Amino acid sequence: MTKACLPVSILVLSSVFSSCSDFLDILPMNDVVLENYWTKKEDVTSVLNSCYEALGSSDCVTRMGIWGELRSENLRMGVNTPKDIEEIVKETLLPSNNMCNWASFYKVINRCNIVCHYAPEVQANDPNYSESEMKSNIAEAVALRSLCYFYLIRTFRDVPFTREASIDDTQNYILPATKFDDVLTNIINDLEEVKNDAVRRYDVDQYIDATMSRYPRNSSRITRWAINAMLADMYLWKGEWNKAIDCCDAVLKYKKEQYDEYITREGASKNIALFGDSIPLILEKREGSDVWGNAYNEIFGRGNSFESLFELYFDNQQNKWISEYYSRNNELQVGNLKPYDELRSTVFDKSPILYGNTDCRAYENIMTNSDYSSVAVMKYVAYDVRFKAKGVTNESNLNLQVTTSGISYKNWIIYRLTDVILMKAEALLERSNSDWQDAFNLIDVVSRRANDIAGNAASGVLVFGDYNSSLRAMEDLVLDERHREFMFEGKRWYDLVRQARRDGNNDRLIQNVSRKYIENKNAMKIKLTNPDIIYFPYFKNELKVNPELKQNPAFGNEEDSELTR
Amino acid sequence: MKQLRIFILTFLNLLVCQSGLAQQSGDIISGTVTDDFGPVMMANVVELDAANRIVASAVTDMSGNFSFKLKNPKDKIRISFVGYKTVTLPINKTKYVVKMQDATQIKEVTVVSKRRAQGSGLAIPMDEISTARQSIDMSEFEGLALTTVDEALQGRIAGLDIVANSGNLGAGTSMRLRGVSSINGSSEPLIVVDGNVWETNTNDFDFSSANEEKFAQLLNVNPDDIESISVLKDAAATAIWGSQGSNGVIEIKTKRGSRGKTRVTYSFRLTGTYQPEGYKMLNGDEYTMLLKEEYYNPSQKESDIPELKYDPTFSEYEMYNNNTDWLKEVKQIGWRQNHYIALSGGGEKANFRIGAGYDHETGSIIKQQLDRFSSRVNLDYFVSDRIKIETNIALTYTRNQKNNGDLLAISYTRMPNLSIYEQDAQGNDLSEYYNMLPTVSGELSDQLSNKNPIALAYQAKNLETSYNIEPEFKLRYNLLGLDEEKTRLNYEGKVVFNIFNKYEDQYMPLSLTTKGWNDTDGREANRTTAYSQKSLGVTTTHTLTFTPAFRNKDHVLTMMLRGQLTSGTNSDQRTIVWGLPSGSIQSTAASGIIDRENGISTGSGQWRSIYFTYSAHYAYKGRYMADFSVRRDGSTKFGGDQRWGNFPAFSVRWNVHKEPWFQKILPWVSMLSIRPGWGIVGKQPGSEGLYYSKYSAGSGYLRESSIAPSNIRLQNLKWEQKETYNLGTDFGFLDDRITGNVELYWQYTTDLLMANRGLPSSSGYSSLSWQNVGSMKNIGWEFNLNGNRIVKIGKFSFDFNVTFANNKNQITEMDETCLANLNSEFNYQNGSYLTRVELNRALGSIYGFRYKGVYQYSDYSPEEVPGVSGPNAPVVRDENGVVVLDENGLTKPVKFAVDRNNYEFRGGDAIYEDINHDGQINELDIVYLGSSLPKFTGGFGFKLNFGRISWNNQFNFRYGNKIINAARMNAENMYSNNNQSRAVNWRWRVEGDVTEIPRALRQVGFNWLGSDRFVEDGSFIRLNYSQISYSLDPKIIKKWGLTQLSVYVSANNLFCITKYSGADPEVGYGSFGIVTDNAKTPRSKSFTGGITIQF
Repeated sequence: MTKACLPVSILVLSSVFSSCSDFLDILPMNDVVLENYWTKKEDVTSVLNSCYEALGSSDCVTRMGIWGELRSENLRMGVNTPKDIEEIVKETLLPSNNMCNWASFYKVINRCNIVCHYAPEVQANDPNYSESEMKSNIAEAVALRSLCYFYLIRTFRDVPFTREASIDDTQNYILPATKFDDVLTNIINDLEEVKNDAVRRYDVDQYIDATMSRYPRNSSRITRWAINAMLADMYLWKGEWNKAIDCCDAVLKYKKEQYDEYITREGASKNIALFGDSIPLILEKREGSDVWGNAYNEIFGRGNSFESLFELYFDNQQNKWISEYYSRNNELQVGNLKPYDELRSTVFDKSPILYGNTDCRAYENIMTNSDYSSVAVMKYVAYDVRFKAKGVTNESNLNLQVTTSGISYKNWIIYRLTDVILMKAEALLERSNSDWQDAFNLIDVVSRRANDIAGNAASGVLVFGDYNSSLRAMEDLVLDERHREFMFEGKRWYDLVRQARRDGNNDRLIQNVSRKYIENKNAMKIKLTNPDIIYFPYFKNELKVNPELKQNPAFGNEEDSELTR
Repeated sequence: MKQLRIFILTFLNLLVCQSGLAQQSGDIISGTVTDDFGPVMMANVVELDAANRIVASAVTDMSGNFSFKLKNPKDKIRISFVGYKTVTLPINKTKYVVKMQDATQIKEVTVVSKRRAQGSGLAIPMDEISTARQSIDMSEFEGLALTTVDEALQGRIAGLDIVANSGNLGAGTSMRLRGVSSINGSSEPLIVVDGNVWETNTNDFDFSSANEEKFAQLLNVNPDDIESISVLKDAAATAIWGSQGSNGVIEIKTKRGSRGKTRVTYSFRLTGTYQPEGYKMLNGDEYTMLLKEEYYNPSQKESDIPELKYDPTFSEYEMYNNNTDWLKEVKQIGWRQNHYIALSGGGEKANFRIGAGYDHETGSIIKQQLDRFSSRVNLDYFVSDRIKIETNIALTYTRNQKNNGDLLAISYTRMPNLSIYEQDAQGNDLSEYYNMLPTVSGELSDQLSNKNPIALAYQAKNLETSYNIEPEFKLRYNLLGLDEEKTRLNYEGKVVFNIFNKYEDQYMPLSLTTKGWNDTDGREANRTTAYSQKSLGVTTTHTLTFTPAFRNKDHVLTMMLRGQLTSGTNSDQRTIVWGLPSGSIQSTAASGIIDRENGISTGSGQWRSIYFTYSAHYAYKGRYMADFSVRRDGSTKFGGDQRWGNFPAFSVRWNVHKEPWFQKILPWVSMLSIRPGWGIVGKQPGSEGLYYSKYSAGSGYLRESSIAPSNIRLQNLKWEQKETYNLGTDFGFLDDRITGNVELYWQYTTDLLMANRGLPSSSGYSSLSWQNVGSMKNIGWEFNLNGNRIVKIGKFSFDFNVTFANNKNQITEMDETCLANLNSEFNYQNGSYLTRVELNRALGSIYGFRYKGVYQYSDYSPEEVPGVSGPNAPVVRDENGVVVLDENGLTKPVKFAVDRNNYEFRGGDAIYEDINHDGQINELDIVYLGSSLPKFTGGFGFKLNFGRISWNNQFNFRYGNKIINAARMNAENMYSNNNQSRAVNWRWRVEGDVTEIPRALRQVGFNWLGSDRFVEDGSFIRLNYSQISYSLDPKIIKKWGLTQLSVYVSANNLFCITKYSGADPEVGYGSFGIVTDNAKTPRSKSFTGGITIQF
């Protein structure tokens, strides 16, 4: 009986602990788990929103700015410049520099991959989620993912490429870098595949008058036109001119339609006019007004303008890139960075280095005091700019009035209409010298708007005859116009790198960039001749955990290089 | 077997009326009780069932008569009265006449009882234990001025390294038993009080960086309540605690009541504490001179800072012309009172013990105050011989008024030429505290954050209040035999609740913030924080113990089966409001501005666990013992297949001294045993929900909500396993007057759990939250020796104890990428050391430069030209020390990291050894500087008794560990505006100075790179306490109605012999075993007087 006793007791005990495994399942209290997710349409759109959210994070936007702008001649060290930034500006970039950390972009990529992975499953189960909705959501995710890869390859050249969603620890996360061209081909193919699934317009009504409320979804979410703009850019990097032109044309055609639609509905606009017969652009000076700065105020001051194709929306989240690096607390003071002064101080000279004195962008982009001792970035920082652009001969008769908006909630623009115009021009002039006139006309459109020369009658600032002598001159023209137009928009360094890839050497890049150097100019020039140096090094910590990655040879392996010395 | 049948029958009898016997239930039993003098009034008459449970009772009346209704004719009747022998009779009639007899002297009885292990496992006789454990009886500490248990244990347990976290009130200690066997997660041993674990939510709790208060749970046990402490060291010993006890277990048993007269004990202690002398800091005059040099040296330009110039026309002149000793201002003598009262006693049916303590303590730093009330009520109720009910309720209330900021740290850095108070034009103190103005010279703006420590102490608030209530209900049921002759099966069921509430209130007044009302970045003005946290844990435990009785008494077998189920929840919330209208309002309910970033936050969590334990002990003739146990742990932290872990342990013991042949050969050896053991324990990660892919809400986009996956779910995660081999031996000589043991152990940890394992960020995540990454090895030995009345001459006797231990730790296997990820990069900056985790190396290795003194001259000349140049100058030398010349025959300057900074060393700069003779100082010159892990730890003590006086001394020591003295580094770097130690008065000032202290250079140069200059030997021997106690002769005090009266005086932490230059060489472990002294409040020194009265 004693012997029987124990098993009986065990039985009693085990009944107490029955269903142990259920007991040990603790669901997180603040989160949803995968097992309970991906059941309905909203689940997809919520994660899709998180892709945009991650792309708009200050980690991402700061890097878009730094990667695309910092090594160009536009920027110099400002006040309290962080060490990492100083390294980049001084071209003493090291793999330990935190700005080489690409984690924030891959975060977006992974979220996009997750949307693409689960959206079809949700569509199969949720009757409210139509196939076309699903396809347009996937198009958005693919577009954001491709955009991220596009940023990465332009910055690092070869990067790990995956379309696989990271879900559990059984997957292999140690990926070698995929070649620049392969990544580019892949993302172009991806975009071509989803291009026609993307939404054309989210909100039907869009007012073109500055005083009316806006519909930010049309330009702050991915549309078919945003994808076309991305594709145009990618084709330019790939050297497929015809396809680039097609993509640009699609956007330009749509914009013209949109403009016509407004005109039919609301009558003539005082805000927007057609340039070069068919390209609607916002006027620097509204019709009937006598202050300039309107285009800036529309595009950058308020954001989500008619010209915008894709911009990241900042609602109540501070845009730290603007308010810390370009300015100090969004006052018009020198931030962590400041412009290369001569871009602005030569405006009233006989031969200005970039902007002439009729170019509104000079006054809109860079702030200065009268003796040019304090020059600060104004683009994005200012909320509202008013000045007189006719007959100005010095700083004082400019009558510049600037309003800033306290904390910067400025949207960050990735593609806008003038970019498409200039991309088309670039593709045209590269395609054949018979297209140079067309290319010139497009460049002239952008220039005319900025110099407030409406209509076709008056002669523009640019003269075709000055440039049609060589391809190089044409290329320089479009580079300069892009420089003028997109200053501080995270484009200049990429423009120079693209040109360097096309040239097969860094000469033009060095020539442009070295203008800003004050000391060690020659040492810098020599350093920059290394063909690999125009790309950033892989981040040290990434190399530590990913043995498959091989460091950019220009930055070498620190230890090795020192051991051999 | 027979008992079981009786039990079952009795049980049935309660339900069913039985007939066929002479008496039936319901019958009236009556009778008379008399003695020699006639009827006995108020005698107790009870009916007892088979288990001696009272089922009916009656009391005799004036005529000695009683009557009651019979419950069961099989029961017995028992009659008792004070002073008479108790009479027990079978129930075979309805009328009794009982004559009571005087209780006479009984014959002398010798009770043989073996000392048994007082733990939560099997109660095994001490000399049969085959695992590594060491116990200390609290009577050894009676009358010591200890506030916590860990103080008592320090230096007493071989292999248990205890280091005080800080000398602040309420700060705990950090403990390592047998070294560090894990990279992340807790390395602290499990603390078990009366078989209960302090259940709290440790989810995502980072133990390595946990601040002091978080781990001070031992503080909740009053040392006066403790009866004994056992430390379980090897896997075989801790096996029944499974994964909870993977770092070792400290079992505490509290005192319980015992049968007898109610006794009252009161004890009182008064302790005075003071801070040990730290670094001597510069006074105001020396400081301003230093700063002027600091500003002059890099630029060769006079600085123009009015605060340093003693210019009477400067508006704040009076506030900056002082010699304030901030350290003196914040230190004080702290007083601690401990009152403790305990009532204990019991009768036939119940025992009780009620203990209550009240501590009031003021710190050795101003405005620190701690009040603690602790009470513990233990109640045992014997329902019958078979059933016992225990209720224990412990309550601790702590109110800790802390400083809002580290006053000591501020005092070390704050400018000494500043005044404490505002001063008038004549330099007289006014009533307002002086805070630096925000308009201070830009160069000194970093000093704005060093708030006036006196004002901080008096005007800011940081209050922490906590309640810990732990009720426990326990039922014991002896199912079979009641004594050792019979087969026994005992059941014990237990429910324990852990209720813990904590409140924190902080307040920072506007007057202390230097930025004013509209500082929307700092948001500090009149800022108040309210935080509350509550948790409730419930633990249910069922234990069955089975001890069969063998006919052959040579065999002893006992076994236990236990199941436990734990669940709990916790929640917390925090509110931060700033810009309150007035300093007199400090509630978050007042209308202020809710902090925009973390103004309101809440959190919640829950935890659960299940385990089963089986353990068995077998002994043959008391000579050969074997123990086996297995634990099955269920964890919420793993998913699927990995959820359950099985952890076995096996150990044997051979009591050599009990062999008949042995006693003939070595009669003076009273004990000798050998104990080999083996076991595996597991460890779980510190976070919940790892096997889920979690989706968390984000901030949204375009005003639409967003949700994103926040982790990679872990499907491969496994238990970390620690396999231990232990070889122990116990010995005793001369009738156990000298006893001791030696333990050797080998611990192999596999599947090491690592938190935040780096992952290529191309996955979208920077890390896996946990991964099994490698293996680690710990080898060590421990030695423990006790002498009990080793010398005895008349009234004089002498006791001693010695322990020491050694542990060697090594990483034996780890993935390359994982190692790389752990290892830091040289950041080319002053003050940082490289930490590296390397294969086949111990954790805790420190790497840095070798410091070789100070360059005497800037310019080199083979012979010294006094005041101009000399051989000790920064020029490149080759392996043989010969100066290297360039093609022009000129010397080459030594540079710092040519690629990076290209700094050229000058006279007065620190000399670092150019290990590879490449003419520059860079990361290739970094070498191994030592390990933070001690070679030996331990302690020793002795006790001299002379009659009723005893003198007790206890020391503890650590040997061979290195400490990064960051405190000294910051006090000697002459790099910032912070005040520096007096040592910098010996700094290099002009060419030709011979000194060990480099020149002052503000924000320039590399004079304080991580080098062996600041890595110091942390070996020490500390006199933990020295105490003289005297207890009065019981014969004398009996006249006063007392049973015990003892008085004592003691000195704690009286001296510490060490080469370490900091205030206290006892510094807690940091991450990866590196020990850095960041000038925490050192453990204070104290003197105590106390008295204990019992009646």
